[in-house]
Amino acid sequence: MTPALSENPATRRELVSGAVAMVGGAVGVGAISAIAQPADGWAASAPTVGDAGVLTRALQIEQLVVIAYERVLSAGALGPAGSGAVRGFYSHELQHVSTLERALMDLGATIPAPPHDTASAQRGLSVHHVPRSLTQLGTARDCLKLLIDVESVAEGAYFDAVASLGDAGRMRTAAEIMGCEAQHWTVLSGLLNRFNVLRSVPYPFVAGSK
Amino acid sequence: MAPGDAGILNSLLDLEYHAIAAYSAGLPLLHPEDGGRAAKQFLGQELAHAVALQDLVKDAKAKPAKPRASYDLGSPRTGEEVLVLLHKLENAQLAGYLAMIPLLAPGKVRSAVAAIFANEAQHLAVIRSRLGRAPAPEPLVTGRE
Repeated sequence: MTPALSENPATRRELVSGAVAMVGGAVGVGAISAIAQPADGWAASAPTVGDAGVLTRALQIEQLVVIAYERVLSAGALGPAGSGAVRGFYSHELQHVSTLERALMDLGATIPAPPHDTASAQRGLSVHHVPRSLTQLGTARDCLKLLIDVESVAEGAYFDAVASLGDAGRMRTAAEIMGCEAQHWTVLSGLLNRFNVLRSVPYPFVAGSK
Repeated sequence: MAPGDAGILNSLLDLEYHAIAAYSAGLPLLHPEDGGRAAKQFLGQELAHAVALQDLVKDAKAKPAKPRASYDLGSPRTGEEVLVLLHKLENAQLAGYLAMIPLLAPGKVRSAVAAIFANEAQHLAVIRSRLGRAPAPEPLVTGRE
Protein backbone atom coordinates (compact mmCIF):
# COMPACT_ATOMS: atom_id res chain seq x y z
CA MET A 1 0.00 0.00 0.00
CA THR A 2 3.02 2.28 -0.02
CA PRO A 3 4.58 1.77 -3.41
CA ALA A 4 6.55 4.97 -3.12
CA LEU A 5 8.10 3.67 0.06
CA SER A 6 8.65 0.01 -0.47
CA GLU A 7 7.48 -0.98 -3.95
CA ASN A 8 6.15 -4.04 -2.24
CA PRO A 9 2.46 -3.23 -1.96
CA ALA A 10 1.27 -6.81 -1.65
CA THR A 11 2.99 -7.34 1.68
CA ARG A 12 2.21 -4.13 3.51
CA ARG A 13 -0.51 -4.06 6.12
CA GLU A 14 -0.37 -0.41 7.10
CA LEU A 15 -4.11 -0.10 6.89
CA VAL A 16 -6.40 2.78 6.22
CA SER A 17 -9.74 1.12 6.48
CA GLY A 18 -10.10 0.97 10.22
CA ALA A 19 -8.85 -1.09 13.10
CA VAL A 20 -11.66 -3.59 13.01
CA ALA A 21 -11.16 -4.41 9.36
CA MET A 22 -7.45 -4.51 10.02
CA VAL A 23 -7.76 -7.39 12.42
CA GLY A 24 -10.29 -9.27 10.40
CA GLY A 25 -7.86 -12.06 9.61
CA ALA A 26 -6.97 -14.81 12.03
CA VAL A 27 -3.92 -14.03 14.09
CA GLY A 28 -4.15 -16.77 16.68
CA VAL A 29 -1.75 -19.52 17.56
CA GLY A 30 -2.98 -21.62 14.67
CA ALA A 31 -2.01 -18.91 12.23
CA ILE A 32 1.40 -18.58 13.85
CA SER A 33 2.08 -22.28 13.61
CA ALA A 34 1.05 -22.34 9.96
CA ILE A 35 3.67 -19.84 8.87
CA ALA A 36 6.06 -21.39 6.40
CA GLN A 37 9.68 -21.84 7.39
CA PRO A 38 12.65 -21.61 5.05
CA ALA A 39 13.16 -24.73 3.01
CA ASP A 40 16.68 -25.34 4.29
CA GLY A 41 15.38 -26.22 7.72
CA TRP A 42 16.44 -23.01 9.43
CA ALA A 43 14.44 -22.90 12.64
CA ALA A 44 12.49 -25.97 11.62
CA SER A 45 12.62 -27.28 15.18
CA ALA A 46 11.18 -24.10 16.72
CA PRO A 47 8.14 -24.46 18.97
CA THR A 48 4.96 -23.42 17.18
CA VAL A 49 2.47 -23.00 20.00
CA GLY A 50 2.09 -20.89 23.09
CA ASP A 51 4.16 -17.89 24.08
CA ALA A 52 7.39 -19.71 23.22
CA GLY A 53 6.20 -20.20 19.66
CA VAL A 54 5.17 -16.57 19.29
CA LEU A 55 8.47 -15.31 20.73
CA THR A 56 10.48 -17.74 18.62
CA ARG A 57 8.87 -16.41 15.47
CA ALA A 58 9.57 -12.82 16.56
CA LEU A 59 13.19 -13.72 17.33
CA GLN A 60 13.67 -15.38 13.95
CA ILE A 61 12.47 -12.18 12.30
CA GLU A 62 14.70 -10.04 14.52
CA GLN A 63 17.65 -12.22 13.47
CA LEU A 64 16.87 -11.38 9.84
CA VAL A 65 16.52 -7.71 10.71
CA VAL A 66 19.93 -7.72 12.40
CA ILE A 67 21.52 -9.32 9.33
CA ALA A 68 19.92 -6.68 7.09
CA TYR A 69 21.30 -3.88 9.28
CA GLU A 70 24.76 -5.47 9.31
CA ARG A 71 24.72 -5.75 5.52
CA VAL A 72 23.64 -2.15 5.13
CA LEU A 73 26.28 -0.85 7.53
CA SER A 74 29.04 -2.82 5.83
CA ALA A 75 27.87 -1.65 2.38
CA GLY A 76 28.85 1.92 3.29
CA ALA A 77 26.35 3.48 0.88
CA LEU A 78 24.57 5.71 3.37
CA GLY A 79 25.60 9.28 4.06
CA PRO A 80 26.64 10.48 7.52
CA ALA A 81 23.09 11.19 8.74
CA GLY A 82 21.76 7.90 7.48
CA SER A 83 24.67 5.93 8.88
CA GLY A 84 24.28 7.49 12.31
CA ALA A 85 20.60 6.68 12.48
CA VAL A 86 21.09 3.15 11.19
CA ARG A 87 23.88 2.44 13.67
CA GLY A 88 21.55 3.47 16.50
CA PHE A 89 18.72 1.34 15.18
CA TYR A 90 21.06 -1.64 14.78
CA SER A 91 21.88 -1.31 18.47
CA HIS A 92 18.15 -1.33 19.25
CA GLU A 93 17.66 -4.49 17.19
CA LEU A 94 20.44 -6.24 19.08
CA GLN A 95 18.68 -5.31 22.31
CA HIS A 96 15.41 -6.70 20.97
CA VAL A 97 17.19 -9.97 20.20
CA SER A 98 18.58 -10.09 23.75
CA THR A 99 15.15 -9.36 25.22
CA LEU A 100 13.52 -12.15 23.23
CA GLU A 101 16.30 -14.61 24.01
CA ARG A 102 15.93 -13.91 27.72
CA ALA A 103 12.18 -14.40 27.52
CA LEU A 104 12.63 -17.72 25.72
CA MET A 105 15.19 -18.89 28.27
CA ASP A 106 12.75 -17.99 31.05
CA LEU A 107 10.24 -20.26 29.33
CA GLY A 108 12.78 -23.07 29.04
CA ALA A 109 12.54 -22.91 25.25
CA THR A 110 15.34 -23.45 22.77
CA ILE A 111 16.79 -20.32 21.21
CA PRO A 112 16.74 -20.70 17.43
CA ALA A 113 20.05 -20.36 15.63
CA PRO A 114 20.23 -17.44 13.23
CA PRO A 115 20.51 -18.10 9.48
CA HIS A 116 23.92 -19.68 8.90
CA ASP A 117 24.80 -17.76 5.74
CA THR A 118 23.62 -15.00 3.43
CA ALA A 119 21.74 -17.38 1.14
CA SER A 120 19.80 -18.75 4.08
CA ALA A 121 18.99 -15.24 5.29
CA GLN A 122 17.91 -14.27 1.78
CA ARG A 123 15.54 -17.24 1.73
CA GLY A 124 14.25 -16.13 5.12
CA LEU A 125 13.43 -12.72 3.67
CA SER A 126 11.66 -14.36 0.74
CA VAL A 127 9.40 -16.25 3.13
CA HIS A 128 8.26 -12.84 4.36
CA HIS A 129 7.84 -11.49 0.84
CA VAL A 130 10.83 -9.16 1.03
CA PRO A 131 12.28 -9.07 -2.49
CA ARG A 132 15.32 -6.93 -1.65
CA SER A 133 18.84 -8.25 -2.00
CA LEU A 134 21.16 -8.54 0.99
CA THR A 135 24.17 -8.23 -1.29
CA GLN A 136 23.25 -5.64 -3.93
CA LEU A 137 23.32 -2.55 -1.74
CA GLY A 138 25.14 -0.07 -3.93
CA THR A 139 23.03 2.98 -3.17
CA ALA A 140 21.47 4.61 -0.14
CA ARG A 141 18.11 3.95 -1.74
CA ASP A 142 18.81 0.18 -1.93
CA CYS A 143 19.82 0.19 1.71
CA LEU A 144 16.86 2.20 2.98
CA LYS A 145 14.34 0.17 1.00
CA LEU A 146 15.71 -3.08 2.42
CA LEU A 147 15.56 -1.76 5.98
CA ILE A 148 12.06 -0.33 5.52
CA ASP A 149 10.85 -3.69 4.28
CA VAL A 150 12.40 -5.68 7.12
CA GLU A 151 11.06 -3.18 9.65
CA SER A 152 7.60 -3.77 8.17
CA VAL A 153 8.01 -7.50 8.71
CA ALA A 154 9.09 -6.88 12.30
CA GLU A 155 6.07 -4.65 12.90
CA GLY A 156 3.86 -7.44 11.57
CA ALA A 157 5.46 -9.99 13.87
CA TYR A 158 4.77 -7.88 16.96
CA PHE A 159 1.27 -7.00 15.78
CA ASP A 160 0.56 -10.73 15.72
CA ALA A 161 2.45 -11.30 18.96
CA VAL A 162 0.35 -8.79 20.90
CA ALA A 163 -2.75 -10.71 19.82
CA SER A 164 -1.35 -14.17 20.49
CA LEU A 165 0.76 -13.92 23.64
CA GLY A 166 -0.83 -15.11 26.87
CA ASP A 167 1.35 -13.33 29.40
CA ALA A 168 0.57 -9.68 30.15
CA GLY A 169 4.20 -8.65 30.64
CA ARG A 170 5.22 -10.21 27.34
CA MET A 171 2.29 -8.50 25.59
CA ARG A 172 3.50 -5.17 26.90
CA THR A 173 7.09 -5.79 25.88
CA ALA A 174 5.96 -6.85 22.41
CA ALA A 175 4.02 -3.60 22.07
CA GLU A 176 7.02 -1.56 23.30
CA ILE A 177 9.26 -3.16 20.69
CA MET A 178 6.57 -2.70 18.02
CA GLY A 179 6.52 1.01 18.82
CA CYS A 180 10.29 1.15 18.38
CA GLU A 181 10.14 -0.64 15.03
CA ALA A 182 7.44 1.81 13.92
CA GLN A 183 9.70 4.71 14.85
CA HIS A 184 12.56 3.15 12.88
CA TRP A 185 10.23 2.77 9.91
CA THR A 186 9.29 6.43 10.11
CA VAL A 187 12.88 7.69 10.31
CA LEU A 188 14.05 5.40 7.49
CA SER A 189 11.12 6.46 5.33
CA GLY A 190 11.91 10.06 6.16
CA LEU A 191 15.49 9.58 5.00
CA LEU A 192 14.22 8.03 1.78
CA ASN A 193 11.60 10.70 1.15
CA ARG A 194 13.24 13.93 2.28
CA PHE A 195 11.35 13.86 5.56
CA ASN A 196 7.99 14.23 3.86
CA VAL A 197 5.65 13.34 6.70
CA LEU A 198 2.96 12.17 4.28
CA ARG A 199 5.39 9.39 3.36
CA SER A 200 7.03 8.77 6.71
CA VAL A 201 3.81 8.53 8.75
CA PRO A 202 1.32 7.64 6.04
CA TYR A 203 -1.30 5.60 7.90
CA PRO A 204 -3.17 5.83 11.22
CA PHE A 205 -2.81 2.10 11.89
CA VAL A 206 0.53 0.31 11.87
CA ALA A 207 0.28 -3.43 11.40
CA GLY A 208 3.38 -4.11 9.32
CA SER A 209 3.57 -6.90 6.79
CA LYS A 210 3.68 -10.69 6.90
CA MET B 1 -15.33 -8.96 24.67
CA ALA B 2 -15.07 -9.05 28.44
CA PRO B 3 -17.28 -6.74 30.53
CA GLY B 4 -14.40 -4.37 31.30
CA ASP B 5 -13.22 -3.98 27.73
CA ALA B 6 -15.62 -1.18 26.81
CA GLY B 7 -14.51 0.88 29.79
CA ILE B 8 -10.86 0.40 28.83
CA LEU B 9 -11.56 1.42 25.25
CA ASN B 10 -13.52 4.45 26.41
CA SER B 11 -10.59 5.58 28.57
CA LEU B 12 -8.34 5.35 25.49
CA LEU B 13 -10.97 7.24 23.51
CA ASP B 14 -10.73 10.07 26.03
CA LEU B 15 -6.96 10.24 25.48
CA GLU B 16 -7.63 10.52 21.76
CA TYR B 17 -10.14 13.32 22.31
CA HIS B 18 -7.55 15.16 24.38
CA ALA B 19 -4.98 14.83 21.59
CA ILE B 20 -7.52 15.93 18.97
CA ALA B 21 -8.26 19.05 21.03
CA ALA B 22 -4.56 19.83 21.32
CA TYR B 23 -3.77 19.32 17.63
CA SER B 24 -6.82 21.37 16.63
CA ALA B 25 -5.93 24.23 18.96
CA GLY B 26 -2.21 24.13 18.20
CA LEU B 27 -2.32 24.00 14.42
CA PRO B 28 -2.75 27.76 13.90
CA LEU B 29 0.46 28.37 15.85
CA LEU B 30 2.55 26.00 13.76
CA HIS B 31 4.19 27.06 10.50
CA PRO B 32 3.54 24.45 7.80
CA GLU B 33 7.28 23.91 7.32
CA ASP B 34 7.97 23.76 11.01
CA GLY B 35 5.63 21.10 12.29
CA GLY B 36 2.34 22.38 10.88
CA ARG B 37 2.17 19.93 8.02
CA ALA B 38 2.96 17.04 10.33
CA ALA B 39 0.43 18.21 12.92
CA LYS B 40 -2.28 18.39 10.26
CA GLN B 41 -1.45 14.85 9.17
CA PHE B 42 -1.42 13.62 12.76
CA LEU B 43 -4.73 15.31 13.58
CA GLY B 44 -6.33 13.32 10.77
CA GLN B 45 -4.82 10.15 12.17
CA GLU B 46 -6.00 10.90 15.72
CA LEU B 47 -9.51 11.34 14.33
CA ALA B 48 -9.22 7.95 12.64
CA HIS B 49 -8.11 6.42 15.94
CA ALA B 50 -11.15 7.90 17.67
CA VAL B 51 -13.49 6.45 15.05
CA ALA B 52 -11.84 3.02 15.34
CA LEU B 53 -12.13 3.06 19.13
CA GLN B 54 -15.76 4.17 18.94
CA ASP B 55 -16.45 1.23 16.63
CA LEU B 56 -14.74 -1.18 19.01
CA VAL B 57 -16.81 0.14 21.92
CA LYS B 58 -19.96 -0.37 19.86
CA ASP B 59 -18.81 -3.91 19.06
CA ALA B 60 -18.68 -4.47 22.81
CA LYS B 61 -22.37 -3.47 22.95
CA ALA B 62 -21.56 -0.29 24.84
CA LYS B 63 -21.84 3.42 24.21
CA PRO B 64 -18.74 5.31 23.12
CA ALA B 65 -17.68 8.10 25.46
CA LYS B 66 -18.21 11.63 24.21
CA PRO B 67 -15.55 14.32 24.33
CA ARG B 68 -15.46 16.40 27.48
CA ALA B 69 -16.54 20.02 27.27
CA SER B 70 -12.93 21.14 27.57
CA TYR B 71 -9.44 19.75 27.99
CA ASP B 72 -6.51 21.26 29.86
CA LEU B 73 -4.11 22.33 27.13
CA GLY B 74 -2.16 24.91 29.08
CA SER B 75 -1.47 28.20 27.30
CA PRO B 76 1.01 27.57 24.49
CA ARG B 77 1.88 30.80 22.69
CA THR B 78 4.53 29.69 20.24
CA GLY B 79 5.00 26.85 17.81
CA GLU B 80 7.65 25.32 20.04
CA GLU B 81 5.34 25.44 23.04
CA VAL B 82 2.70 23.66 20.98
CA LEU B 83 5.21 20.96 20.07
CA VAL B 84 6.14 20.56 23.75
CA LEU B 85 2.44 20.11 24.58
CA LEU B 86 1.99 17.57 21.77
CA HIS B 87 5.10 15.73 22.92
CA LYS B 88 3.63 15.48 26.41
CA LEU B 89 0.24 14.30 25.17
CA GLU B 90 1.69 11.73 22.76
CA ASN B 91 3.70 10.30 25.65
CA ALA B 92 0.56 10.19 27.80
CA GLN B 93 -1.22 8.33 25.04
CA LEU B 94 1.63 5.84 24.69
CA ALA B 95 1.69 5.17 28.42
CA GLY B 96 -2.09 4.79 28.45
CA TYR B 97 -2.17 2.36 25.55
CA LEU B 98 0.65 0.30 27.02
CA ALA B 99 -1.11 0.03 30.36
CA MET B 100 -4.38 -1.01 28.76
CA ILE B 101 -3.29 -3.40 26.00
CA PRO B 102 -2.67 -6.36 28.34
CA LEU B 103 -6.03 -5.77 30.05
CA LEU B 104 -8.05 -6.22 26.87
CA ALA B 105 -9.38 -9.76 26.54
CA PRO B 106 -9.70 -10.43 22.78
CA GLY B 107 -6.39 -10.78 20.99
CA LYS B 108 -7.75 -9.08 17.90
CA VAL B 109 -8.72 -6.02 19.90
CA ARG B 110 -5.29 -5.93 21.57
CA SER B 111 -3.57 -5.91 18.19
CA ALA B 112 -5.97 -3.28 16.86
CA VAL B 113 -5.08 -1.06 19.79
CA ALA B 114 -1.37 -1.84 19.37
CA ALA B 115 -1.65 -0.66 15.76
CA ILE B 116 -2.81 2.71 17.07
CA PHE B 117 -0.07 2.71 19.73
CA ALA B 118 2.59 2.18 17.06
CA ASN B 119 1.23 5.10 15.05
CA GLU B 120 1.42 7.30 18.16
CA ALA B 121 5.04 6.20 18.52
CA GLN B 122 5.64 7.45 14.97
CA HIS B 123 4.04 10.79 15.87
CA LEU B 124 6.35 11.05 18.85
CA ALA B 125 9.41 10.39 16.69
CA VAL B 126 8.51 13.24 14.34
CA ILE B 127 7.67 15.63 17.18
CA ARG B 128 10.94 14.79 18.94
CA SER B 129 12.77 15.51 15.71
CA ARG B 130 11.02 18.88 15.37
CA LEU B 131 12.12 19.69 18.90
CA GLY B 132 15.73 18.98 17.96
CA ARG B 133 15.91 15.65 19.77
CA ALA B 134 16.77 12.16 18.54
CA PRO B 135 13.60 10.79 16.97
CA ALA B 136 13.96 7.21 18.14
CA PRO B 137 16.40 7.10 21.04
CA GLU B 138 15.32 3.95 22.90
CA PRO B 139 14.83 0.27 21.99
CA LEU B 140 11.52 0.19 23.84
CA VAL B 141 8.80 2.82 23.50
CA THR B 142 7.34 3.25 26.97
CA GLY B 143 5.72 6.69 27.01
CA ARG B 144 7.80 7.57 30.07
CA GLU B 145 9.83 10.45 28.63
